[in-house]
Amino acid sequence: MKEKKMINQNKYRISTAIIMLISIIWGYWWISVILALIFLFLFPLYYEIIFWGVLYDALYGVPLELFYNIPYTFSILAIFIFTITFFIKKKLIAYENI
Amino acid sequence: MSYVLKTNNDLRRKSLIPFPLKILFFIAIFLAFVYLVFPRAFSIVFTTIIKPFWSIEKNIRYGNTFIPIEDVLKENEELKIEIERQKAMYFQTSFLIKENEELKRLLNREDLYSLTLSLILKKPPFSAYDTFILDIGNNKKIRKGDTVYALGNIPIGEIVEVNMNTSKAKLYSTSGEKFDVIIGKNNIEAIATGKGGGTFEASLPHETKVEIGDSVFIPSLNNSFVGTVEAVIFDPSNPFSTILFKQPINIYEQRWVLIGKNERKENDKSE
Repeated sequence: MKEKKMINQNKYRISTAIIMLISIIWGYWWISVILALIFLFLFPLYYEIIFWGVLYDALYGVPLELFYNIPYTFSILAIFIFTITFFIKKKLIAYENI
Repeated sequence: MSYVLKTNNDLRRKSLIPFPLKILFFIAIFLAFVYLVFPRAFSIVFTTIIKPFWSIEKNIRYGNTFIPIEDVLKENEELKIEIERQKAMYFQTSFLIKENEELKRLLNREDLYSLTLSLILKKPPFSAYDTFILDIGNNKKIRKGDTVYALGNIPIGEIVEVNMNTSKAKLYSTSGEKFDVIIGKNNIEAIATGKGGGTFEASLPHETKVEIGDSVFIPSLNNSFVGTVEAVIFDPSNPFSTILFKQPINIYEQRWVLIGKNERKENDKSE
């Protein structure tokens, strides 16, 4: 039963990864951000968000005044958001296994 | 008498830092190491992998794969009319360009740049960074700092990162970006700040004579027309007037750009 649940979750993870990839390659940036935030709360530990941040910076990142000349803004944001949501999830009963 | 000490399993099992945060810590350390030691490593790897997918998008959008033949014929007719219209202008401007080149040659100030055509793979508003991803890079001898021109030789940005087959261009009009400009007939120097979407802002003292419609240039011998003054905002409580100007083209409608390989034409030839 537990194994089946895990396989199902892995299937979801792969599907969401494909959706995220499509949105990063072809979509608007704000769609990617919204999807990443949704998936972050959908899964108890969504480590992938850090990869999406790194990928976004690798593809589009340049040093801009707007982002204090840091070309890794989305990587830093992803790590920051993951940490914040980790502590939020610990307080929520919906994520009892964290 | 000796007692067997009871081990505190609960304490041993429960670490102060939760396991996911430990993983996160190691990921952060790894990323910091890569970003500091090999800043372009991820960019080179991922853009090489993703470039074919961007090309697919361009082929579908601009290629004739899914476009009905009637639309293509209609567009062809429209383009023929446009070519005729442009021809008249071309003869006038080509005469002026020739005259300009001759004058520069007479004064030993020839243009030291050559242009390379490039397809825009990705552009704002899709990317949050307000950058153009271009389909040529080291393979066409593009270098960091080369100027990017919209068709019509209007400078719109510069190359900030070059990979093997792609490059990233930062737009002058990106919000917060600053660069030097010359405004109007009196060649007034100012610092322009990008406001996004091809618009700019500059501050000048009230006494400065700038009018709506004045041309704005980047200080350079090459083609450097940036735009025209659209508004001059005068506030009596502020000793400075705000000059708003915009580019004559819509940067979001561009499909192609020209990259000016600045000051390397002679070096390239000698190579």
